[in-house]
Amino acid sequence: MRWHRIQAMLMKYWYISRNSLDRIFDVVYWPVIGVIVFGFTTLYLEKAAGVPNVIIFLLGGMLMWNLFERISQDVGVYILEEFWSHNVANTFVTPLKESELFVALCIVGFIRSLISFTVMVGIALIGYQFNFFNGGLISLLFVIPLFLFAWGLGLLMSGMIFRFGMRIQVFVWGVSYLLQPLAAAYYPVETLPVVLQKAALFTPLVYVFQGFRLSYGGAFSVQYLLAALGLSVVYLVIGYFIFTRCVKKARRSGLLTKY
Amino acid sequence: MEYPLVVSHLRKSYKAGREVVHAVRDVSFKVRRGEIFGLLGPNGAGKTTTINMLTGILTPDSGTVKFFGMSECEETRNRINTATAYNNLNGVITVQQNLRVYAKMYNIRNANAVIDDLLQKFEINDLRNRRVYDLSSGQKTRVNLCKSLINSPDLIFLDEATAGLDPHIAHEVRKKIKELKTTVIFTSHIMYEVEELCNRVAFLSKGKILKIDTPEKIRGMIKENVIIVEFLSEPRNAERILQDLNVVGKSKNKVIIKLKGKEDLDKIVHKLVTSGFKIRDLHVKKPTLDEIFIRVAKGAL
Repeated sequence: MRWHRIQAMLMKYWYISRNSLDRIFDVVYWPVIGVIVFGFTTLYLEKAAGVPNVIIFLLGGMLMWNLFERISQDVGVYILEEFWSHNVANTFVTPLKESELFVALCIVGFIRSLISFTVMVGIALIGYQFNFFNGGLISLLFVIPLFLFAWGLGLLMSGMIFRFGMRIQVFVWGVSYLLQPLAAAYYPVETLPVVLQKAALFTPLVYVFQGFRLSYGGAFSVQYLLAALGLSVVYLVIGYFIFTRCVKKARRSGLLTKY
Repeated sequence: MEYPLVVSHLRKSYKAGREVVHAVRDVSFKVRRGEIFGLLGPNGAGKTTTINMLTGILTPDSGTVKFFGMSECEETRNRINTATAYNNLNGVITVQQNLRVYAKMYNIRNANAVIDDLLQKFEINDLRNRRVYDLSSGQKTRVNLCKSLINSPDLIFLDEATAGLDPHIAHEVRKKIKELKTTVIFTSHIMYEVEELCNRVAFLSKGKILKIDTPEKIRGMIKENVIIVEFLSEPRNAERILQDLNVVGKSKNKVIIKLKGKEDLDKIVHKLVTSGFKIRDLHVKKPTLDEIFIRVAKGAL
């Protein structure tokens, strides 16, 4: 793995982010709109309906979910940028390796989600008196499996693009929502029917959200953290494996030559 | 002798619907250091598929490719580059930004100077801050060529690289390609371009190489040239005199005569002049690669 090639991809993503209004909107516009809408909904449910702990379920859940969504989508979107520009062949003719591309995508996802997250946390604090760091720094440990799983999912989505081409680009935008009901981001997992509760145990998201809510309230579950970390690493490895297999397949099928 | 490129028994087929298309069937050739090697053939001959396999973006079904005596690896990829009419640079970002990205990719130390030099060379310095999306196809072609030279490659693949250029710019680009001190694999379906540029040419048809040789030798495969003679005036017995010659075409004041060899030309001109023909113009038409290609493809050569 060569750092200069990772830097080259980061440089490209930086230029794209700077020049493209779409990519700027991804980072700021949608998250800000989201936090404002969820903030007012929280205020209403808290004051008018008297629902307890609503702020951590709604606003806290929304912040964490947005972080997850941003990271996973960014991996796929920056791959799609190559396809949209018919730039894939030019990129893959260079000595760039899949592992270097993966690292660059992870870094760009990390930076962009951090910007987005900082803005949202700031608005939540100032506008709705919601301190995301109320659970202390230890609660932030749950962000680590969130990142790992998001990268894994992003790699899976990118792999699918290399396998099936642009026709499945809607998958990039929609796949994280497929997991949302199971993630129990906005409600306790017990709310789900028993079958879905069991299915939810196979995603790290449910441990992340449950664990984060616990730590926000002052408790901390090592079991939840370990379960989330373990599952995230497994999915990241699977995602990377599928991604590299799909790129290999794309070289065989000729898909790289079409874009 | 170390060849920059040795291709052995390359094959590639793919599915198009229910049909299996054999795009490349058993292609083998060697390219010498510093030569411009042309892959010539009609659309669908397998030129681009061959180039794609050589540049590593398409995995062959079978066969081997050696670059500088080595199988494809990081080192070989650092020493090659490509420009094609079929792929672009990133459209959202500017020409200069794209070139900077590729300079970084190949770890070019004095990137800004190299980029300046390339933009000057291809006369697109004024486009450096324009987004690639906003360029005309001819301008994109020149930017692609700049990109292909960013790492001073030892082997460069130019796949229909002059497509979309107007004749003046295409001529300038061909001149610049000729000046490159590197090995070039050049594909085109425009025969005169290949004739002008290439040291050797491989004729491809239906995924197979039909012939590899220099353009001169390939032209020499057809011995019979024709001579087109335009007259100022003809003698009275013109018809009878011309009957003795191998006339293949005739119009007012003009005849086309088939030659069998160089000595034939001298005899014909002598006969015409001594018989009273006053010659206004005379032109020996040699066979073009187009004509030869058609004959080779038909199996007539």
